[in-house]
Amino acid sequence: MPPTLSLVKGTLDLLILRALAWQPMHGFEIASWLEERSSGALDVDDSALYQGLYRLEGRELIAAEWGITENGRRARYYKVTSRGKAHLKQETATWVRYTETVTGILTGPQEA
Amino acid sequence: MAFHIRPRIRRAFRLSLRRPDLTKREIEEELRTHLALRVSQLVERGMSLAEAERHALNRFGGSWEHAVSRLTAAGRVRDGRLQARERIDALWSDLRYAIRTLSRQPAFALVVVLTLALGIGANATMFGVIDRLLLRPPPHVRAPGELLAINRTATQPGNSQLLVAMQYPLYTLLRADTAAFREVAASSFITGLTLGSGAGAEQVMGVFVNSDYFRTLGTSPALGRVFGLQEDGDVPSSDVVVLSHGFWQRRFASDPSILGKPLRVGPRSLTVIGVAPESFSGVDPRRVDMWIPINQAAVYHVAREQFPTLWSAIWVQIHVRLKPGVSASEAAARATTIYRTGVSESAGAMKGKRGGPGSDRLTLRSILPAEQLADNPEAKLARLLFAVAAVVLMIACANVASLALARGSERRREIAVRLALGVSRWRLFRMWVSETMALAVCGGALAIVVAEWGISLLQRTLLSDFAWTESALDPRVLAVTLGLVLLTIVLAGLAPALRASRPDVVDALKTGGRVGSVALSRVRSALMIGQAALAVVLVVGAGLFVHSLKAAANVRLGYEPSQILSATMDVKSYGYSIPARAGLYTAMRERALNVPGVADAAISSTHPLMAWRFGMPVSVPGRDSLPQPPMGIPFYNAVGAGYFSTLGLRLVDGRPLTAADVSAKARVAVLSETMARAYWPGERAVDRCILLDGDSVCTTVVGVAADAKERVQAADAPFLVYVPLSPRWDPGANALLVRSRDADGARLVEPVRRAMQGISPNLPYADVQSFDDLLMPEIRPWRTAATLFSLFGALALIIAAGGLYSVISYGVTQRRHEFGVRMALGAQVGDVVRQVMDQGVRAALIGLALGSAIAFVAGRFVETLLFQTSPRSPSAFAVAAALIVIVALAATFIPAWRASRVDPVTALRGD
Repeated sequence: MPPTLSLVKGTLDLLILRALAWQPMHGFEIASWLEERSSGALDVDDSALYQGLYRLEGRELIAAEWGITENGRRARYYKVTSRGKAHLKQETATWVRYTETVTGILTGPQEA
Repeated sequence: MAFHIRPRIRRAFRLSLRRPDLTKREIEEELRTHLALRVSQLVERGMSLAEAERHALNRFGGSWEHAVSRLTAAGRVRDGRLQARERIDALWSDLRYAIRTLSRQPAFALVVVLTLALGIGANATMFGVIDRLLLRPPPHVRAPGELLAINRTATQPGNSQLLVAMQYPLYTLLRADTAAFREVAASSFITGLTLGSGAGAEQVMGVFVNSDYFRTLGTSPALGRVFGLQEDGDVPSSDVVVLSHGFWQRRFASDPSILGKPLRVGPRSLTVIGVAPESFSGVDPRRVDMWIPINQAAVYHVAREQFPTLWSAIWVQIHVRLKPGVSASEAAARATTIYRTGVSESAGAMKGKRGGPGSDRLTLRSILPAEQLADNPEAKLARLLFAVAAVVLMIACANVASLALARGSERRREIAVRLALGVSRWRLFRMWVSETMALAVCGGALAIVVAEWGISLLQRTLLSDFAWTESALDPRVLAVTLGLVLLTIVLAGLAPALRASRPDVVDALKTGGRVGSVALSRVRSALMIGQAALAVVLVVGAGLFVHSLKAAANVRLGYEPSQILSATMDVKSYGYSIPARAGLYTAMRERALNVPGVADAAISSTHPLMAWRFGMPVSVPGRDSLPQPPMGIPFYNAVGAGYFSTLGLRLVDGRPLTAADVSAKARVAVLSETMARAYWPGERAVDRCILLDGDSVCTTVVGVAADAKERVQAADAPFLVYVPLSPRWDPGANALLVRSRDADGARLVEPVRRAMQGISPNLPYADVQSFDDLLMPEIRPWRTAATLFSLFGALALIIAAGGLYSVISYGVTQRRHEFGVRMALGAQVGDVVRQVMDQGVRAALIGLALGSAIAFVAGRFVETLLFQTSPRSPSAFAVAAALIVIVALAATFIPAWRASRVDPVTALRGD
């Protein structure tokens, strides 16, 4: 198993938004979704995840409501607000451009 | 759980949008769910329960408490951010809502904004002036609260007088008393310095100061240096000058290379060594152009050569800072002792001359303008006008409040609907306040424009002598304007908002919002009455000051000031001897007589509006005692031919002095009427013999001239002897008087100046002023008060009329239905008109009574500012009464007429 990657600062918020863009979820579902999607390569601290959720809530990028899980537990369900969607779209574009540029430089032909 | 209403609907009805705070219990519950799900996941993957629990907690930092505390902190940040955002949203939506509502009634909004702009603008203007005159310490003076001015109270039997001018030797002695005084500065203000020469000459304001001056004030220059000890030494080394920042800007366009350049001031060429900091004018707000070392004072004939030891010359102002631990009264006592000793020693040295200041007392006064100007009539006036402006603002606020009240009852139904839907009262209240705020902000912004204009107008007209170099509208004026806006929000917004948020919901819905409550209409009546009363007070005030101004303008001075010009030239400093001066003035007179529009001209050693007076011992052969004039000694004026006709002074008896008298150096004289009457009551003075200046030869009285007043407020006229101008009288020629053919003497100022200046390119500045201008400083307070009071009074009337009109016409709109019914039932047009007007006119009449009572009582506060006018002048009250009644009739007639035009059919169908 390859070593897990720690998160680049600021990407957690983006990942949460991406997860919720798919469908409203509660905290554990988001954590599982992230682990699944990264095939366990991303190590997200659960505490950081909830802090991120509260932060996004404060910025009104996501909103929460209490609901009931499949097995009858009460859980807070988060969903992306319209502001959050716009934010995700914009930040994703920025992120892609950024990584492409950095990757291009790092993996480009080396001059001796 | 509160019943669910979608956010959009909540927003539309101003319901609470608030997202609830995250409680600790919620956080714990969320955490517990997460841990449980995680544990079951891990157990599913094959971990033991204990291991899975440990692992799950590890992902939260190891312990339950730790996890809870971290998440609680994050939750609190979330709550805070949401709250802040919500507040901003609410404010913004309130504001948008307010603007939307207001834009639906642009007339209402416009009236309110204009009312506030004028009310607040007038206040900001007056504050700007008061601030400059009374509140702000002089700029660039270190620790201004510690700087004290030495004043002298001269007590004579019957009256005591506060004097600021002191003797120079006192300064030297105080400086030597290092036990009490840390720093001592002497200065002397002079207005008539000539800059340059010939046609380009101009007059500048200078202050003669010691090197101690800048050190004592704690002022450092903007450029170059100020005077140092070297300038206190002998005269040659002190041919230097420090320019004021304003003068440097105006005259030299802020040229930084000015240092070291020569500047011709009077007869001397002075080297510029420094520029004072911006807007520094010493401790006085008066404009200053330059500072010159005090040891040059003799050169400029401000003092005599021996001034350092001369106790008889009273010409310097002294400012001190005390040693720590020395109290002002202690220092004043020491200074008084020093002063008395100095004066009595010098009186001993100059035997025969009256010393007599044994009872004079020195006091120390703070230089802070608030304390210094406390007794000054202009400061009193400024305070009064500030109060007046505040009254105008009150009227404006009352107006806004009554308009808002009217609107409030109009919208009772809307409010009732909102309340029924569950909009919180607090929220409703905020909506009202924000609506008022939107108005007040617009009004405030416009008020700044009004104030900017108002202050610059006042600066140019009423306060032109002051050193205003900084921008007219400073941050403090803005701050005060803002404060007034907020105050207005509270005053004008609160009452209607409180009333409006508390209507009886069911009642309002039932009656369809047509009937205004009785209490509400009572408040509106009270506001109308209050407005009318305040307007009456201001109009009465305007009347009193206009009357004072008229009385002042009508004072019989003995001459017609608008027709006479005074032309003087400081040729003494240029070394002109008495005969040379007479020659120069004679030449100038001839040139002036050739100027078109000049009717007559005469030279003299002084004139009624000149500060100089010359005393002359007079005796009458055969009489031991003569009546004493009010000023202790008779004065004399040596005059050339045509003096009386130029001044327009009537000869009560005998003949004037003629050119022949002057050329023959005849021993003849003309007496002032007061003197002649006092010396020979009931008899003719003409042909009597008087002995002048200790003569033994008779001087024959050939005529008696009417008294010429020296001041508008002068109580008694001096004893004055006119003698033919001749070298015998050492004041010599000092002035040229010019009489204009018409009443517009000011028109001749420039032509006469050019004519005088044209004689030689080396002459100093010719100071030509109309007598009107010379009298202006004395008349100015009444003029200022009359102008501003009239302005504010008119403003108050307009605002009050607007208020009356809008309230009455609002009432008419409200009662359309009722009027329709009345008309349908056969009421006459006149009945309806009378009924509507009745309400407004009654309010105006009650206001009139109330306002008159206030004005009657408040009158005594302005009594000292009035001139020959009783604060209870019936004519002022009558004019105010007539005005307020006319305004009330006009303001109520239009809506009343509209009410009588209501078509019964439309009005009845309308509901």
